[in-house]
Order: sequence, then C-alpha cells, then structure tokens
Amino acid sequence: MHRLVKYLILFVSIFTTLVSPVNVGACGFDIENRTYRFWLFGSDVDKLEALRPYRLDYDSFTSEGVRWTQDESKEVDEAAFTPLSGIQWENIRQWQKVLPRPVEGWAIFQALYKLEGNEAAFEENDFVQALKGMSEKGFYNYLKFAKKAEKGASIYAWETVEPTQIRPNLLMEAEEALSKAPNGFLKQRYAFQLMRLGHYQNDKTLLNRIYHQYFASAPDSWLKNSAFFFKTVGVGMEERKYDQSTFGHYLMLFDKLSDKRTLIARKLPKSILDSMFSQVKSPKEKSLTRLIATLKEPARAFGQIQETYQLYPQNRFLPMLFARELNKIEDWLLTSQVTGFEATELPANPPNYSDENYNSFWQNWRNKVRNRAIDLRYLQQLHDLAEQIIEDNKQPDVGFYHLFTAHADFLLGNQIGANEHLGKLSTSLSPTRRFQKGILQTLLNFGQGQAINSNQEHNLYQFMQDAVQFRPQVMDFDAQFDNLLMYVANQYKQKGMFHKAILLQAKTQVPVSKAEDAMGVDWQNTYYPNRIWSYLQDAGSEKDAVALLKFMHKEDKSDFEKFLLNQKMLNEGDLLEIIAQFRLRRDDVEGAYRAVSSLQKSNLEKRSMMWLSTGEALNDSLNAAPLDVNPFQVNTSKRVLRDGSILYLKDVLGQYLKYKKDAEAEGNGDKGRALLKMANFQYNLTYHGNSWRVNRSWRSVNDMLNNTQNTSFEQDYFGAARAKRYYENALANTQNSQIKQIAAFMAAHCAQLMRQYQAALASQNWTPERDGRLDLSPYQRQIGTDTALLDKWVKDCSGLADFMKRI
Amino acid sequence: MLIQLALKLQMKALNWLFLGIMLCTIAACKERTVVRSMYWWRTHFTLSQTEQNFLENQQIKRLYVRLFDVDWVDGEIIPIGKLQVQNPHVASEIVPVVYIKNRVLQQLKSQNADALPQLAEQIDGLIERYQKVYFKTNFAHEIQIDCDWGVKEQEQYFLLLKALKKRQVHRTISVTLRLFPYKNAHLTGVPPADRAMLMLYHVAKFTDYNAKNSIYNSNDAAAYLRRASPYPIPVDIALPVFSWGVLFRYGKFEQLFNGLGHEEANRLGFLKRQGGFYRVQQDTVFRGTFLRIGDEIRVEQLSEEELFTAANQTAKILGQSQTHISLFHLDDTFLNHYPHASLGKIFDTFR
Repeated sequence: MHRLVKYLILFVSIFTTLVSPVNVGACGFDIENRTYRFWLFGSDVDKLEALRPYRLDYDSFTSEGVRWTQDESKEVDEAAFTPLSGIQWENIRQWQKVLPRPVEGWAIFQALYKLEGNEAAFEENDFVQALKGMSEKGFYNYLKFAKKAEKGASIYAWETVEPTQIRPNLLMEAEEALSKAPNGFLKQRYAFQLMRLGHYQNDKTLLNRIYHQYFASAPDSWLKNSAFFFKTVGVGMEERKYDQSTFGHYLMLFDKLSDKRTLIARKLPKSILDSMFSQVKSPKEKSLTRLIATLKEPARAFGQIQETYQLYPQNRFLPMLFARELNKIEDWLLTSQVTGFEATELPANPPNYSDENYNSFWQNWRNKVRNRAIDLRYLQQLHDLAEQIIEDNKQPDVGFYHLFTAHADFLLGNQIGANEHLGKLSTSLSPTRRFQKGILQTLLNFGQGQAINSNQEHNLYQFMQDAVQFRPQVMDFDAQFDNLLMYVANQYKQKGMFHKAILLQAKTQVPVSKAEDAMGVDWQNTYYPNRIWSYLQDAGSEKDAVALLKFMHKEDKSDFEKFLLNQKMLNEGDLLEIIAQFRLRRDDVEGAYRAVSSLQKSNLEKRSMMWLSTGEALNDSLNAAPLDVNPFQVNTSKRVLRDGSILYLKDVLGQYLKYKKDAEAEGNGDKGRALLKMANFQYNLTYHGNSWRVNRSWRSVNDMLNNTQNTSFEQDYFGAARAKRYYENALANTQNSQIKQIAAFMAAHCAQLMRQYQAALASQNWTPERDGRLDLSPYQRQIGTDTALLDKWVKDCSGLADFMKRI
Repeated sequence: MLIQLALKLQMKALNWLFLGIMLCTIAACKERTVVRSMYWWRTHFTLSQTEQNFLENQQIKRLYVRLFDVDWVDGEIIPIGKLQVQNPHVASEIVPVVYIKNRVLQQLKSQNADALPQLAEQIDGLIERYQKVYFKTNFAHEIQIDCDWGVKEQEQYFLLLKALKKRQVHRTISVTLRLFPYKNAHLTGVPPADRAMLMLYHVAKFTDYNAKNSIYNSNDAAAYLRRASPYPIPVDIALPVFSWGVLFRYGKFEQLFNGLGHEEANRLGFLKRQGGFYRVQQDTVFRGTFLRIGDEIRVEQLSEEELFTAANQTAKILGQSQTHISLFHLDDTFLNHYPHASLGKIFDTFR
C-alpha cells in the first residue's frame, strides 16, 4: 500500500504540472517567406519613417512624373521644376494637341494615371468628357482599352499559374483595334499597348513585329523609347547575355526613360556593369556605367563618385549619387543625433562597472564615436568634391551642389558655410528645392543661439505658410514637416521654453512613442487624451505651467503665437488644475487654492478631460471624502476622484484652509480634530489615498513597482512621508484620546507604506512579516494609557473608517 | 476489526485505481502513426539532388507546398508570389498551402457579400489549376490555409474557411496555427478546420537584443504549449530547421540575414564569435548590407539536441493516433545543418 500511495502522489503531481496554466508574456508571430517577405531595414520594422532624417534623395530633386500646385488645377512650370523631367509631361502635351478644346493638364493627368476603380469620377473628368464629345470615338475607346489593359494582368492572375501572363483575348482585341485605328496617333498608342502586353506575355515575335512596323523608323519620342524598352528587356535583365550593343541600349534607356530609370539601375547586375565598363567606349557611357554601378554600392563610394565625375563632368545624373551618399551617411550618422533628437553626448549617468550592461554600453559607445568620426570625414570629402564641382561649373545643375554643400555644412556643424551656400541658390527654385531650402534655413535658424526670438518665430511661420503650397509636389511632405516641427520643439525645450515646445509638438502627427523620443519625455500619463497636458505633467514644472498660462493671456500675440495656441484641447481649466497639482506637491495649499479660486463652471465647458463632469457634486459612494480616510479600501477603481472636477477641488481646498485656520487659531480646543483632517487630506493625496487625482492625474496599480525615482515627491506620494509628519503633528497637538489613537495608528501605517516603497525601490519583495508590522512603539509615550481603540484596530481595522468619519 | 475491514476495502479500491491507471498508460503508449512531412516555402519549385535524396531516404511522405499568397494590392485582392514550378516531379504527395494576408481579411469586411465566396472560389480555382498543370497525380486530399489572424480578422477568416470547406467537402481543410492562438484560443477562436498545423517557432521577438534564440527555446515554448485542455481540433506539428542571423547595431535591431547559420558565420573572416554574438571586426559589405565595426549578429539556429528537445516537448501535446510531423523547411542550406539520419529520427520521437 505504501508503494501504491507513492505512485499515486507521483501521478497526481505530474498530471498537475502538465495541465496547470501559466502566464505568457510574449506572443508569437508569423514567419515570412525567406525570398521576399522579410523586412529589410530596421526603420521599417520600427515604423520610424515619420521620423526619418530630412530627406535629400534623388526623388526630392527630380520628378518621375507630373506634380501639381495645391489647387490641383495649375501645373507647375516644368522648366523650373526639374532638369530631369518625366515622360508624363510629354504624353499630356501630345493629348492636348489632339483635343478639340483646351483641357487642363491636371484633368488629363488624372484620367491617364489616376482614377483607377473610380468609374464615376473617370466619366465626369473634363478630359474624358472632351474625348466623348469628339466625333471621332476612337480616342475615347482607346482610353477605355488602355485602362482595361492595365487591369488585365491582375484580373487574369487568378486564372493562370504563370506569374505574369495576360489574358489572350486582350492581345487579340489590341491587334484588332490597331488594325482599325483611324490615325497615326492612335495607331502608335495601340502599338504601344501591344508592346506592353507582349512584354508581359514574353512574346518575342510579337514584340519584334510591332516594333519594326510601328516604331523602328518613327522619330524619337517617349512612346518609341518605351516600346524599345519592352522589346529590349524581353527575357529579363538579370538573365540575359550582354554585348556592347545591348548594354548600350540600356544606357540609352536609362538616359531617356525617366519612368524606367530606377528599374534599369536596379536590374542591371553589378557584375555586368563592372565587366562592361572596359568595353564601352565613350566617356559619357563609361561615366553612366560607373554611376549605375555606384548606385548599388551600400558602403562608402567616394572613389567611384569622383571617377564618375572625372570621366564625364557633364553627367546630369551625378546628383543621384551625391543625394544617395548623403542619405547613406545620414542613416549611418543617425541625423537624429545631429538634430538633437538623440544624445550625442554621454548620458549624465552612464552605466558603472557594477551594472549588467556596462560592457555592452561602453563597447557600443566606442563604436559609435569611431563610426561617427569616419562618417563625418567621409562627408567632408564629398562636401569638398561638391565645392570643386561648383567651381568647375560643368554640371548642368549647379544649384543642387549648393544645396548639397549647405546640407553637408549643416551636418558638419559649419553654419556659416551652410548659410553661404543657401544664399547662392537661385531665387526661382522648384518647389522641392524651396522646401528643402526652407527646412535647412529653419534648422540653421533655430540651431544657433541661447534663446529663440520673435524674428526666428516669424521666419518659421512664413516658411510654414509658404510650404503648404508645396505639399502636392513634395514627397512625404507631412512627415518631413512634422520632423521639422519636432526639431524646433526640441530647440524650445533645450532653450528653456518648454511651454512652447509642448504646444508645437502637439501640432504634429508624429506618433506618441516617437514624439516622446524626440522630446526626451517619458510619457506615462496615458490618462490624458492630450499630449500638452501629459508632457507638461511628466516633464514640465510649475514654472512651465505658469509660463503657459501667461502665454495664453499675452496681449498682441503674433501670428505664430496664435497658431501655437489654436489647439482644440487647450483650455484654462485644465491648466489651472495642473498648476494647483504642482503646488500641492510642494504643500502649497494656499497657492493651489489661488490657482483654482477664480474658476467658475462657465470656464470649464470645453475641458479636455472628458470623463470629468463640470462641477457636479461629489458622489460619495464612489469617492471617499478627501478629508476623511480609509486606508484599507482596496478597490482601486474607487480611488479615482471621478467627479473630482476642478470646482470640487476648489471646495476641498477651501475646507482644508478652513481647518488650517482652525488649527492655527489660539486657544482652539478642537485643534487636534483640525490637524487630523489636514493629515487625512495629505494621506489622500498619496498613491494609497482615495483622492490621489488631486495630486496626480493618473494612477496604475503597478506604479510603485515600476517607479525607479526617489525624489521628495515620490517619498511623499508612494512613501506617505508628508502625511506621516502631519499625523505626528496631530498626535503631538491634541489632548483628545480618540484623535491620539487615530493619529498614532495612521502615522505607524504611513511608516509601513514607506517600508513597502523602499522595498519596491530596491526591487525586493515586500514581506508582510518584516515590512508589514504596524510599529506603534515610537508613539507609545504620546498615546498614553487609553489604547482600547488602537488595540481593536490593530486586530481588526474594519471599524476605523467609520470611526474616522464621526470624528 | 472494523478498522481492519475498512483498511482492506480501501486497499482494494486503490488497487483497482492503480490497475485503471496502468491500463490507461498502456493505451496511451500504443504507437502513433506519424506521417513524415516537410514544407516547401520557396518561390521556385525545383528540388536539388540533396533535397530529393533526403525526401527518399527519410521517407518523407508529404510536402506542404506554398502555392501563392493572397494580398490586397491597389484595391484588388490578387494572388502574388505564385510558385514557379520548374520540375514538378516528386514522389511525396503535395498539400497545397495558401497564405492569406491579414489586410485581405480586413478588406473583405468592407466588401459586398459576394466578395468572400468569390475569393473562396478564386483560391480554389487557382489551386486546381496548379493541380492540372503541374501536380496531376500527387495532390493530397488536403488544402492548407496559412494565416496569422488576430481578433480583428477572426470573423472573416473563419467565414472564408467555411466557404472553402463548402467547396471542398471531400477534402481536408487544415490551417497553420501559431503558438499564440494555440495558447489563447479563448481570444482568437478555434478555426473551423479539420486539422491545425502547430508551428513551433518564433517563441520570442527576434528584434529583442536580449533574446537568446527567438526561433525556439524550450522555456518560452513551454509557456505557450501548456493548455488546460487539449486543442479542440487534431493538431499536427511543424518544427523549425531554418536559421537566420539577426543584425544589431549599437544594440538595436537592424535586419535579418536569412539562412545564415553557425557554419557560415564561422567561415566569415570579418566575424569573431564573442558570447552569444558574432561581432564584426572591420567595415565590410555582406549580402548587400554595409556592416560596421562592432555590429553584432546573433545566429539563431537549433542544435540537434534542441531539435530533439522541441520534438519531445511537442510530442506530449499530441493526442490522436495519427499525426503529420513536418520540418520547416526543405532547403539544402538547412538540411546541411544536421545529419540527415538525425532529422529522420526526429519523426520517430512522435511515435
């Protein structure tokens, strides 16, 4: 039997182990296909796109297509836009020539390149209307066919196991339409559609036939070049064999076809580019070959860039390389460091020898310093080359190099050089360049000096007004602009104007977590639906709050100041409550009362804290009165001063001050009671009290465990240090035995809470036996002999709260 | 006397109980039928000689082959990344796998009522085309849907599975099952499918610098595997044989080097093994990425021993008499990480 029992115990214990539930902290996620589904860059993974360094890439300077002014009806002056204009312009111009009446380029652009899947908008489009109104219906029919052909591949995707096949009847339809096309304009376009479909179908016979019949002897145009691209690409660029002639075709297409340029650069294998370099003859081709190869270089490429330039100084694509290098450097440097979003200096308290991450921290720090120095040296090399190019004056777009060197100077910390180069930029810049120039000027403007003046603010405001019109033409306009505003906000913070910093950051769409990083704020206060108040409470001070109040009341505000203050969530009621909270933290109850005393219900109608009503009576069933106390109320949800609107706070503070007056009155026999009420109020301001909301806007059950600070506020808030002093004061200044017993009990309880807090700080478990002891010994002498109530509460505290209310 | 009688009766009852337990144990020890399987998760289907040999020598009966992904592109639900089949001849039976991206399910919510059955029809149709064109005779009577659905996508996903089942009443519909929904079926629901393939990997975040091995470690896996009751539908198991390198710069995640294993990392002259990382010793370009001095690569790859641990760990959760055990995934690079015979023995762990 003995053995059987042992088996049974073993069986039960194993069974219990196997089926008992456990908590899991992490969650699993999907495995992605190894070939193409993996994320490539950390910035994408972390969704850092919105805070990427200021963009200075190829796309910012060139246009692959048409971009428009803000009212979206007036096209941008093409010549001013970019020296590398897109083929879409050419197409739109050609269509405008065949139309019977003038149609805005914008409408043509929309109909040709947009409005996918929006049949109604397509039919209402002015360009489409003009086509419909023509006696020759072939133009309208062509456009409909072109749209169908575009969708053909995706619709057919469900019907074939081939990766890029198109529906055969689409080809037949195109052939038939081509044969019936009434004029050369439409014939060439149907032929172009056939080339495109033939390319997807990989039908070489078709491609050769159509090209030779319709394009071979035609004059140079985007249609001809595109058709040639479809014919040449044929079997694919990676797999094909190259000779000097076929390679030359790709160089020609790279030069002429803006919409295929990236594709060609991406698909031409590096090995081919390297091997063909010696075979191509002209300096222009050699330079272009080196340029495309350099675009593929992930590391530093100064030698190749220099060679590309020297081979053919007129190479109009050279800015691509400079812009790309700058992006690489910015990625390596983390421009965020340069712009102050991330510390370049050692933190104030780097890990010391005993810290777990000591080794990795210093190793990383040394690598950062080393890499940063290398990157800056490399940037200086590029900067000098760009200055040489400006001096040589052989590049068609010298303006680019001024902008480049200005940006490089900014990164290198040379503000004078940066301003000089910006000053040399032409006044008639394309929108993208004006935007980039404005960003740089703002960075330079706010980056210098110890303070920020109204002139700087005025310039920023002007730029903001000016920049809005660039929105349609600038890539990722909003993200870039938000970057800029976060930078300026950070500068305000660094220069002691935190109230303006928080107002400006609230104007951005930067995600909260990223804004925190940029502002250097650890936003814990998620109870506030408004970043202004959260940052003010978590990272600001009473001085900042008062400065904000003063700013709100300022007369003759500038346009920029009005812009800053024009925020939905901004209202005086919330701000005054926060000021009162700051004052309560340092036990300035009179000051807190002064802050809220002027407020009436009418001031509070637009308050942001939506869960708070405006001045409703305290619901005592939910909230214990702040001047009473129930230290053993465990339901934390009741601790929110749910109806604790600012008007209620005003009442409570008024009551407190009345007790204070009573306590200070000479010869007051009831002094002890007043002191006890004051102590209760202090207790309720703590993390453990019922009215912590009066002192701090948020509370979580894990706050104390997660808190790592040990300031006087934390001592009072988590450790009830101040409340203890108030109870001890009450104990010392009363003859009333009942009050003595309550005050002693609560003072001892506050000491208990301090032990609990200290244990949490030291990451130790709170042990009831060791820390939970209610130690009344320090107060024995003051309590005297009447301890009946105390003895009762020590055994069972349930009656304390009711008793307290009766006092 | 009475006490003695009571003791006797108690002893008899305990003996019966012991006998019952023994019988249960014997019943549980009855050998389970294990169908040896592998996943094919590449975009081109053409097996190398090593891969073919492995399938034959290790008697791999089944290949779960990803045919295509279903994605939402430019306002349309379309198949992308279709499998390109160079050489369809393989002795193992093929289970077609289709990966559904969550955004498709999210989009289905706002589409009209026909969209969901239409998608089921399209998926079904494209699978059939693959069968007709390439895998004429060796398609299994099973279709597997791979999806990392969450609470937001649950309703549409389950409706889609039902719609597929309605079209394929005679076929088994299986689903892949990540560890999270396995553990938290009360949150994510149990898919209306005939079987579920539990993917025993990604037990931690690979972006976490402090993670030891995010692909698999027994502690993290154990937390996911413990359930109060068996999973409501029959469970098959997929074990990870893949590897990758996780690149960190200054302690922050940068990117993944897929397929990188210890053997290759040890061969790379610019890397030096230090602790749990390979540290970059000089600025260099590796697989198109510019690496800098001090960059750290954590190679995540299961050792043979860990693979057996994973197998033993998951064998305990299986209840049914027949199961499909699969390795993820068939690839020369990964097969070379292990003695092939050992990989074969992994399957036996589940008998």
